[in-house]
Order: sequence, then structure tokens, then C-alpha cells
Amino acid sequence: MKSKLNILFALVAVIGASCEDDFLDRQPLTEYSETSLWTGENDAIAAANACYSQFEDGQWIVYMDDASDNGHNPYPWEGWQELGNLQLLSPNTWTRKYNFTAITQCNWFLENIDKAPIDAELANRMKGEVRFLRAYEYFQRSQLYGDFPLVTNMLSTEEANDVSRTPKAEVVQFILTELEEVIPLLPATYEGSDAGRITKGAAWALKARVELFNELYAESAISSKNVMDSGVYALFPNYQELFRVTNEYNSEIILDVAYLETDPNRTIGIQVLAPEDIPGGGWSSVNITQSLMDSYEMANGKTIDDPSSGYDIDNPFEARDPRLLQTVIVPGAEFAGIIFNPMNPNSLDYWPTYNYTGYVGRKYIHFKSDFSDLYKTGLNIPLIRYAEVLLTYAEAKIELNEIDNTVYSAINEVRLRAGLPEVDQPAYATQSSLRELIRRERRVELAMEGLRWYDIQRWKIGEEVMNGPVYGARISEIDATGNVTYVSDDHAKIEDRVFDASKNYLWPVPQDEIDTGKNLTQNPGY
Amino acid sequence: MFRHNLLSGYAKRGNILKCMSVFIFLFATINLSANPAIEQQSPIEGTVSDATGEPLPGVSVIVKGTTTGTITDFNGFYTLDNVMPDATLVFSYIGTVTRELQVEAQTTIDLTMEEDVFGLDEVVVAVGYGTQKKINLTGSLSNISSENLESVPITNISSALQGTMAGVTVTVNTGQPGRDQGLIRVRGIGTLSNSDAMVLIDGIVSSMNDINPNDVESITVLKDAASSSIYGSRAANGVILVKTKQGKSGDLVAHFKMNGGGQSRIASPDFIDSWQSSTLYNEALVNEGKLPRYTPEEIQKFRDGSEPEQYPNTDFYKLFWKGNGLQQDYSFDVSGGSEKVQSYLSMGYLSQDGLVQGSGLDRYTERAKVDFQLNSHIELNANISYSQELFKEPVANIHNQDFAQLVGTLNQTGRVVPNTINGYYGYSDEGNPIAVLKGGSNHADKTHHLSTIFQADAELLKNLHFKPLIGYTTTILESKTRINDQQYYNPYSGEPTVFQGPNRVSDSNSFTDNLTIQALLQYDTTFGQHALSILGGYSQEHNKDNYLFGSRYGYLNNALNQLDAGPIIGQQNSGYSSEYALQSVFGRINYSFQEKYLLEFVVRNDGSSRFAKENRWAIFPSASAGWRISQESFFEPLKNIFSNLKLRGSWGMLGNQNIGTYPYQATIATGQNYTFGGQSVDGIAPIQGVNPDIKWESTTITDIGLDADLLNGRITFTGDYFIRNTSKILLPLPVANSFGLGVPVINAGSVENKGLELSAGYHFNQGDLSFDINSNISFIKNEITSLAGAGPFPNQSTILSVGLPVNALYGLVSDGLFQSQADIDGHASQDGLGGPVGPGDIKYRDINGDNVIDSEDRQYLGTSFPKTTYGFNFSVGYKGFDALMFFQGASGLKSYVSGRILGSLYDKNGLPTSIWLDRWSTDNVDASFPRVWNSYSQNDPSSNPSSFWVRDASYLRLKNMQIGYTLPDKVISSIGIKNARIFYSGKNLLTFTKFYKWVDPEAPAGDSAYTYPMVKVNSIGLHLTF
Repeated sequence: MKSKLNILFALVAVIGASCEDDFLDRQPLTEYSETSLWTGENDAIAAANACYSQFEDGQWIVYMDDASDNGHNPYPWEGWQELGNLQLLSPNTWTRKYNFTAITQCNWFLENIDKAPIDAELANRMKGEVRFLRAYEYFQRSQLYGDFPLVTNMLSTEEANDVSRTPKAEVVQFILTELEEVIPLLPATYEGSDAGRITKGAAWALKARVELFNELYAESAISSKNVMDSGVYALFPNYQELFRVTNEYNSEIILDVAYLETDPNRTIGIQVLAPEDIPGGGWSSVNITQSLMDSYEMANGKTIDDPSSGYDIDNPFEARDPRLLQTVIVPGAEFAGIIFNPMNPNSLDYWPTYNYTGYVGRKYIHFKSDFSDLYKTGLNIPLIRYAEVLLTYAEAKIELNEIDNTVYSAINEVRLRAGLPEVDQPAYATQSSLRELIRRERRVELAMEGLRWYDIQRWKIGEEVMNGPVYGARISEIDATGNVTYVSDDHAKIEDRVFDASKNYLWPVPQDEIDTGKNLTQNPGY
Repeated sequence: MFRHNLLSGYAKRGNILKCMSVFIFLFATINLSANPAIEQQSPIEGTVSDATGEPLPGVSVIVKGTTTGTITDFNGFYTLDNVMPDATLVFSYIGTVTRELQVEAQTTIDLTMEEDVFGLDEVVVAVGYGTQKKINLTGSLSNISSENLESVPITNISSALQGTMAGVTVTVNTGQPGRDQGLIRVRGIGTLSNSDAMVLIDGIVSSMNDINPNDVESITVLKDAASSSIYGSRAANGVILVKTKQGKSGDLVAHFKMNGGGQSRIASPDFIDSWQSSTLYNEALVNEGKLPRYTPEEIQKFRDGSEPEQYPNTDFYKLFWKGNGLQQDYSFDVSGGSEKVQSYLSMGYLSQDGLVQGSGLDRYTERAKVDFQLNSHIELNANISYSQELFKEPVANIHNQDFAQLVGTLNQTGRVVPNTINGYYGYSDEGNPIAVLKGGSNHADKTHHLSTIFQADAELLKNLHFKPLIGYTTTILESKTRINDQQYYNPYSGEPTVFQGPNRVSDSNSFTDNLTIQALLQYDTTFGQHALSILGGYSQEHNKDNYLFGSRYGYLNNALNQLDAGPIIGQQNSGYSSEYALQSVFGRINYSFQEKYLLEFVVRNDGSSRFAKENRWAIFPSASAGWRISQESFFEPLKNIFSNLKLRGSWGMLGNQNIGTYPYQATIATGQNYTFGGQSVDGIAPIQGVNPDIKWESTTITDIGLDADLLNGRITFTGDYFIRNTSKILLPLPVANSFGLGVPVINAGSVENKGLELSAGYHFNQGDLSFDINSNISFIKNEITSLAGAGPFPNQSTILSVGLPVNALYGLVSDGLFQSQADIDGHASQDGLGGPVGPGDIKYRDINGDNVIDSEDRQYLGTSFPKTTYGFNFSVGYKGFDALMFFQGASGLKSYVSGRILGSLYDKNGLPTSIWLDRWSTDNVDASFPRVWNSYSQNDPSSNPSSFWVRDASYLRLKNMQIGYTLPDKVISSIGIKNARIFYSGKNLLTFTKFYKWVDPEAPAGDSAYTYPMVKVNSIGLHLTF
């Protein structure tokens, strides 16, 4: 009996021994914890890198023209069609930029970076980069939603639910102040494996853009002039080649969002542009409208409605601004080994199938052989190019009515690179005629680069350009070699757009957000 | 509040106290054991046999008025120590008349048991860490034994439980082989996160999918807090105890069972012909001011099929679901043994072919159980099982590259798309489901599950049992997904067009192991008319998961499926590892007086690695009492009617810690990469919000129950009323997006479930005729009682709100359809809902009266969790024939259709169902469906969830029907077979419901177009006993 008791005590002792605290202390095995970070340069750099990972989405930039008079999304389910015709836009729309993921990553970095024992210069530079990224996020959101909650530190859940929308003017002021402050912290250029980080020039250029959009023309002229005078940037000689993988990080790129074919988590699918019929397939998600087609000048610098321009409606793409065919795949054109034929009922691109316009984008995908898979490419998407800065400078000066040679030469630089003649100065001598010119120039130069909607918004031309019928290509017959024979004067009619100026200049705040955030209000009209 | 402080105060004192409690408990138990051990009495032994003189093993021999007793061995032999001369021994055995004998001066008592059909007194059921006689239970539990499971063609146990127990709701959402397990909810939805019940197989935490249904001896569901609080922190959602069969001493007995049959679809989406869908597509375009897509001539061609390639009416559904659906199940077991060694060996093979080619399941199971009676004091037991499951399914080669995507593609490829044209596959935006299916992209899982349980039972002192246990389970999952590329061609020129690719092979391995160490001390004693039973225990569990993934793409062709054969460029790998640990001490005291007044106290102290140190430990107590009124002397006159009548009551507290592995720790995720200068750089960032203060969820259950057996067990009845309150629910309460991280889990909210459970049975057996009727019904009312002052939280078609049930549907209220422009003009504005309003659009009710229909006008539209669930079966046997019908149903639930299961008009990507035909038009103003739409969303159930799409999803289902015949002995005995039965069995044969006829009412609410359809099964089988 005694020996049995001994066994029992021994067992109890074993059980008791396993009652150590350690048994229940289980730390994460595959994730860092807040306490094990900020030990040195590696941690801090990685934390700054993460802020870049979410800050912009290149595919979104490409899609963005569907929300303007440049484009039309044929598929209701992709969510962009309603952003184009606006009449269907409901607060449940899924295509949204109403999120704080990147902003929070920036805030987290900025709140913690001072813990890391690292070189002050590096720390300052990275702070500058991250503050820029945050400012960029706020720029985009204030454009789309108007008033937007300005959150600059990490929030508790209660604080997050209490957040209200900061007036747009305050958000803009924040952006401008931040950019002003980070400029001295940022270098003018980076070398090699740092290429693509935020530069001084990027901060000046974004500042110029935000100032222009907010009618701070004098400031915008100064900011853009700073970029022009920096000596860092120059237009890339070839417009078509500018958007090519092999020419990434060229002298014209001030800021881009970077992708890498060999990193499966960092690829970008640009099949959204390509026609459906091509080998490998495309989505045709960004259809180009006739309206954009018509805004390209003739190669002689005259607009197509000018009787002396030489425009031939039966050869509409001949002798036009070379950028037209560099930007758009037109009916009968060759692309990736096929003849694009939206008029053939047996083609996947047959225009009535989903009310395609019959025009799809060519920019970004022209050199298709650069990509092994259009769905997973490594193409960087430019966000700010030097050409935009030149046009910003010119527009700011025009709006200031300070029309001097610098204005013409800025515009000419862009036009000459495209293969157009210089501006016909006598024809464009007044502020209003120049305004018309600069707006047209911006539209064609920057087509499919995500800026057109903002231009419509600030020029308040929605009722004019996003109202009424949307047309596509003219009805024709196309043979196997791509010869087009027009069989009708009619163009494909795609949809009727109705623009309500009292609400449509802003997107609705998503309904879920209003459901959760007690103090959030909806934009007028939604 | 008071309780909360008490607990946290306790927890702060920390581990020392907790560990001490183990010692204290064990010492206390040992001390208690000392006293009765002194009263040495003479031993009694004997042999029990049945009416034919054969020794009867397994007879319970109990000293009356106590819980002391034993069970006869395989020779029918028993021995009992320390029996007082004035004691009475009670001999009982299922199916025999219970006998009571005075001991007096005897040392040997032999006995012959007489047969009795209704020997319900001795029914023993599994309870936490032991067993108990059903009549002595004070808690609420439901029990099902193997006979009720055996002859059904079941592929997994969880779905077989459907409708068999009051208070246990089982939902089966899919008929896919290997994925058709039931979702089990015990007494409603107790929490807002994971409501899965805890499953223990032979005492080890496990999953119901790991086991061969033939190995199951019984399944017990612990429903109230009194019976489940011994499992403390994991018991809040109910505990399911699965007990496997074991060997009995005696002759070897072998069973061979087989059944085979075919599966078929219960319901198919009722997609309409291409001429109808193209007509509707035109109509939708015109409704939206667009040009029609098809000319009348083209529609005529669709209709007459004159140009089937260009103008097809492709029934992709029919082409897709072409698997043979064969199902076969074999099992063999042998058991038996000697006095010293008993064993049970079994093996099983299940094969299920899906309704689509490439889908299927093969399962091999093996189990070996051995019991050693080392000596009169020590028993050893080994229980080893292994199963291997081979699951396979075809997958899509685009988007998610899974089976759901493939079914999604199927459900959106319009009939206007040809399957083949000039020998080439036709093509819609997502490809061609048949081409993808034939392309052979597939996913396969091979799951190995090993479970080894070793336990001992040592009687250290008289009536003091020490029961250590070591249980080790491991699950190895090998997954392989092989995505084949697919080239489409222009059917006219033969030129390659769309390419779906590149091909890809992904391999993953996950390894989970779990080690449980447990020790129990049990002491049973009686003094006078008092019986006392004490259980103390310690258990700890450590669980670790490891996962490794690798993939490559761009293989030369689709021939190879090994990683090594693929190009290195673009290869990917990833992995993770996580672990958790639990540590617990627990105790239970059962006391009974005269077997009339029953009391039980349970307490468990649990520690979990999932919580921060300060919140790590918590106590879960319970108490229950029972009064067997039928034992009272005043009840004597009624005794011939009521053989048993018992009133029960219980209260207790339970926990839930099912919330991920490290929820209180702020973790920083890696992999937030970017690219600089053409090179990838690593990024780290927090992505998930954390709450370091989270604590256990706590559930209290109060239960009042009544058990009655009438007419010597012919009629049985059990009723329970319960109130189950769950508070401090661990919940990711919706947070405004400005929080910027994944929503953290916090202790917010309370849910109350109130319910009534009734079950009754009638059993008749006379001569050659026997029949049984069993029925059960549960009513449940579920309500969120608090959301920590926050909310309500609408989320598309559902809402979380105080005062509403957990699965509350939410949306606009429909008042029919607009009939005219005047109707529209006179109504509140609906302009903000996604399109210009026209006649034939749904008219939504202006709830808040502000003359605008918007999100403010949404309201509660019903719950998708059934308020009432029920089941009843009727079985009859006459001579060798037997038949059974089992119905199961649910009512008081709503569901709705949306998305692809409703269909859409997107031409190639749209596949409208027949309800679109009854659309509103000027010729059809009484329509049941609005005017058709293409891109407008005001009527669309996904964009604007509304009561228009919500329907009563109550159903009644003939779950199982069986007809069997047992061959006469004289036919089979000559060939050495003891028993042979052949049978037909059908599963899910009939469904009665008012829900959309092509959607199964059990399918998940909303868009169920991505799931495998529910199946019915017709099979025949054979059971042989040797």
C-alpha cells in the first residue's frame, strides 16, 4: 500500500512540475512582435518599405479613365461603369479608395521610427519619404470624397469610430505643409537599388499638382518651376517607349508605382487594357470613347473641327497627332499578331456584345513581347511625369494670365516630343484660347494616366463632358488585313450619361463606413 | 460584475495557487479514501448467465443505494470486495429484468438473468471523464447509440446526427464528397464567432471527420453547463463525446458490412433556354435605353436550333455534372477476447465518386483497441487508429483556381455560348467550364490522421482509481494543386486566341500534432443510504501547427506535376508555424441519497496560452440536482404507470477561447514588399489590430428538465427548458476604416438563447411485431442582448443589433412593384438606389417617412437560423422484415437568393433562371419578378437586399428510408453466418419547402452559386455477422 502511495505522490509531483508558467507562454513563431522590432537600420528600412507597398495601385490608375469622359467600362460587374455614367452610383459601390491601410502604415512608422537607434540623416530621409506617401494618400482621397478624415496617428478603435470628416481645405493645407516640410529632408536623386524612392522633385511636383488643383496658381507655378530648374528631369525622347519596362526609371519619371515580374506578390495585371481576341486574352475593361479620339489634333497642329485641318472622316486616324495611335488600338489596327476587329460578329471583340466602344488602350501594352504574361507583368506605372509638370507650369501661368515665352516653351517641349509642331502662337495668344489648348494638351498627353477625372472635377466641366450619349467607333467592315471600309455614318452608341452637378463631383462615402462611424456624413445627393 | 471581480482576483494570484490546487485536490481525495478503507468486509463473487445458460458478460452489479459496483467479465464472473452483510446487490443488464438480492451471509451469488425488452434502468451514458447511469443524470444531454447510425449509408457522422437529437441543430450545405460534413450547433448560436461544439473521441479532442462511422459505439452531446462544465474553457458551444466500440470477452464476433449506391442532385438551377435569355437580354437593354443585342432572326435561330454552333442552347449544367456519383462503403470488424485481454479491430473503406468528373473521396480507416486486465487492480488500454483520406476535386484555372470558382464559372456561362464550334471550344469571359474541366486542373488532399491513446486504471486503494492517460494525435495534410493552362482558338480561323495560364503546380504540407496528458483520480463510496463519488483531474494539452508551401509555374506542358520539374524563375515558398497550450485542473462530486435525491458539483480551472498572463486563468463552476419522484413512497400508486420520473435542474458557467492563437499580442506582418530599382525589398507592417486585454467568453446555462419513462419503458419522454447567456463575447466589432488595421477581437456583447427541447418515444414489441416511434423537437429563441453599447452594425444583407437574432437578415422592405409612372411619382424617391426608376421596379417602403428611400429605410427581415428544428422516425419490424422512415425538418427561418444563383442578364456571362420569365411588363402586371435589368441595380438583391428576395426556407425532408430483410437462421447457419441482413436505404429522398424550388433550403443564405449541389443517395447493402 505504501509503495502505491509513493507512486501516486511521484505522479502528482510530475504533474505539479509541469505547472510552470512556461507551458502557457507561447510567443508567435512566424511574425515579429512590436517588442522585438526597431532594433536597427534593417527594421526601420523594412517598415518604411511597407508604406510603399500599399500606397498606390497601378491597375487602379489605368482603370481611372473609365470614371471620366475618356473611357467606358463595358462590364457592370467590374464596378467602374457606374463611375463613368454616374447615374447608377450608389453608396454601395465597391470601387473605393475609402481606406486607411497605407495611411496607418505611415502613421505607425512615424510614431515608432525614433525608437530605432539609427543614423539621423537616414531617419530623416525616411520620415520624409513616408510623410510624402501619406500626403499623396490624402491628396487622392480629398479629390475623390472632398472632406475626408485626417488621421495622423495610430487610433484606438473607439477613436476610429469617433472620427469625423475633416473639411477638404484643411486636408489640402495639411498636404501642402507636409510637402513643404519634407522637401529639405529628401535627396534629389537615388542611385541603383534605391531608385524609385521619393525625391525632392517628387515632393515639389506633387505640391505643384495639389496647388494647381486648388487654384493656388502662383504657388503652383513656383513649385513646378522648382522641378524644371532642378536639372534632374527631362522628357524622354519617345512617347511610346516611355511606358516600357526597359525604360523604367528614365529621366522623365518623377514618381511611379513599381512592380516586378519575378516577385509574384508585386506583379500587375495589365490585361485589363488588351482586346479579348489576342493570344493570352485581354479584358477590354478600359474602352476609349470617341470623345477622346476627337480631341487629338491633326499632325499639323490643327483640331479636327478646323475646316483647314485636312481631317478626312473616312481616314480618321491618318495624319493625326502621333500619340493617338500610340495610345489607342483602333479598329483594323494590328496588335499582338491579330487585327483588332470589333465589327466582326465572330470576334470576341464584337462591339455589341457588351456595348464596347470599339477602341481599347494601347499605352502600357504596345510592346507586348516585353511581357511573358500580361496578367502578371512587372511594368511600373508612372504617377508623376515631367511632362505633367511642364503642363502644370503652363496652366498655372495661363490662369495667372502671365502669358510669356516660358508658357509656350513648356507646352512646345511636350508637343515637339510627341511629334507635333510648336504652338501656333498667333492662334493661341489669349488666355481663353490658351486655356482651351492646355486643357486639350493635358487630356491627350496624360490619357489613361488616372488624371482626367480630377481635371473634369476642377474645371467643373462634368455637365458638359459627362452628360449625354457616349459614342464609340464608326460602323465599318474590316478585312483580314485590317482595311477598314465604312458602311455607315453612325457610330456605336454605348450609353446615355446623366451628370448631376449638385452631387456627382464627389463620390459617395461607402455606406458601411457611415454605418460604423458615428460622426461620418454622406456627400450631398447620395 | 461581482463574479468578474472574483475571477480576476483569483487569476492574479496566479499559477502558484492553481498548481497548489492540484495537490490540494489530490490530497483531499486520498484522505477521503482512507476512512472507508478501514471497514474491511467480506468479498462476494459469482457468475451471471442468461436464460440459455450462457455466461453473460457486462452485467452491472451494484451495491444498492451506492455507486459501488462492478461489471461481469467475459465469463459472466464478478467479484465485489467490502460488501456489508446487510447490503442488497442489484444486477442489471440491458434487455433483462433487473434483479435485487440480499447478501446476508453468502460469499457466492450466482444468478440467471431473465429477458426483458424494456430494461431502461441500466442505460449507461458517457459523461465528461466517465460514464453514468442515465437515471442518475442531473444534467441535460442527448445520446445516440450505434444501432441508430449503423444501417444508414453515411459518409461522416456529423451529417448523420441531423434531426436525431433535441437541441442539436445540424446543417449540411453541400453534397460534395469529402465536404459534406454537417455544421453542428448545440442549443442555438451561442457566440458571434466560432460556434463549433467541442468534439472528443475517446476522451481526446478531435474532429468528427477522422473516424469511421462503423467504429462508433455511441455519441453523447452534453448540452447544459452542468454536464459540460468539466470541459470548462472549451465547452461553451456544447461538447460531443464520441465513444468507439470495444472488444468484449467471449467468442470472437466478426461483422462485415457493405453498401453501395448512387448519388444524384436534389435540385438544379432552373436556367432558361438561350432564346428566352437572349429575348430577356434584349428587353433588359431596352429597359435601360440601350440597343437590343439580338435581331428577331437571331432569336429564332436560338429557338429552332437551326445553327446550333453559332446560335446554341448549351446546357453547360448537364454537360458538367456527368460524374457517376457511385458510393460504396465496406467495413469489417472483429472483436472478442479472454478474461485478461479483449480486443477490437476494424477497418473500413469508403469510396465516393462525385457528380462531376474528378471529384471524389476515398477513405481508409483502421482501428485497434486492446484492453489488458493486468491484475485485479490494474487495467491497461491502448486505442490506436489511423485514417487516410484521399480527396480530390477539379478546379478552375483562373481567379481563385479552386472548385468554387469552377462552379461559379459554370453558373455564369450563358447558354448563348457554344460548347464547341468547328471542333474548338466556345468561350465566354471566364473561359468555358467544360474546357476547363476537361483540361484537368485539379486539387488533391491526402490527409493522414493518427490517434494513439494509452490509458491505465489503477485501483490504488479500495475504490480509489487512478487513471492516467496520454493521447497523441497527429494530422498530416498533403495538398497538391495542379493548374493546367488552356489555349482557346478562334473557331473560324483556328488561330490561337485566349490563353488561360501559365500552368502551375502548388504543393503544401501541413503537420499538426497534439499531445494531451491527463490524470484522473476517482473515488466512489457509500455509507448508509448515501452514495458519494468524487473525481479530480489534471490535464494539459499542447498543439502545434506547421505549414510549408511551394509552387512553380510555366512548365513546358501539362504533363508533369512535381515541383522540381518546373522553372526556378517565379517559384514561391511560404510557411508558418503556431502553437497553443492549455492547462487545467478539475473536480466533480456526485452525491445521492437513496438514489432519490441527486446532487452534482463540478469545477474546472483553465489556463490558456491565448490570453495575456493576467487574464490567463479562469474558473468554471456548475451545480445540478435531480429528484427522482418515482422513488418516493407517495409515488408508489403511480409506479405501474411511471417506471421513472425525474425532475432536474442545473446552473453552470462555461468558457470559449476559440479566437486564433495569439490574439492578445501585437504582431507585425512580414511580406509587405515593394520594388526599388527593379529589385524586391522586404517590408513589415502591422496589419491586424490587437486588444491585449481580451478575456474568456463566458456562458452560463440554467436548465430545468424532466425525464419520464412510462409503462415499463414503452413510452419515454424528456423535456428541457434552458436559458443560455453568453457574455463578454469575443468579437471583432466593426470598426471604422480609419482604424486602418484588421479589426481586433474584443470582449463585447452578449447573446441569449432560450429554448425548449422535447423528445418522446414509443416502443412496442410483441411476438413477431415490433415498432418504434421517436421524435424530437426544439424551439429556440436567439437574441443579441448587448454589443457593448455599440452598433447596430449592418453588413450588406445582414445586421448585428441588440434585440435581434445573430443571423438577422436586413434590408429594404418591398411593397410590391410599381405599376405606373403615377405610382412612382406618388411614392418616396428611389433615385439613389442605382438607376432611373420605372414601372415594374420594386417599390420599397419608406420606413422613416422622409420621402426618400435610402439606407435609413432598412429593417430586420427574419433570421436564417431555424427557430424550430425537429425530427421523427418510425420503424417497424415483422419477422425478418424491417422498415424505417426518418423525417427531419426546420421551420421559422428565412433565406434569400442573390447573385449567380438567381442569374443575371449579361449576355455571355448571364444565366437567368426561370423566375426571370415571370418578369413585370405591361402585359404581365401581376408579375412575381421585377422588370428585367442589365446594369441597373435598384432591383438587384446583392446591391439592394430587400424583403422581395427573402422567402420562408422552412423545410421537411425525408432524410432516410430503409427496408431490410434478415435472412432466416436456417438458411444461413449452414454456411457459418450468424446473422445476415440485406437492405435498401435512401437518403434525402424528398424535400418539402416553399423556398425557391431549385435552391436547396439548407444552402447558405445569399449567393450559393459556388457550391456543390445537395445530393440524394439510393443504396443497397448487406450486413453479415460471423
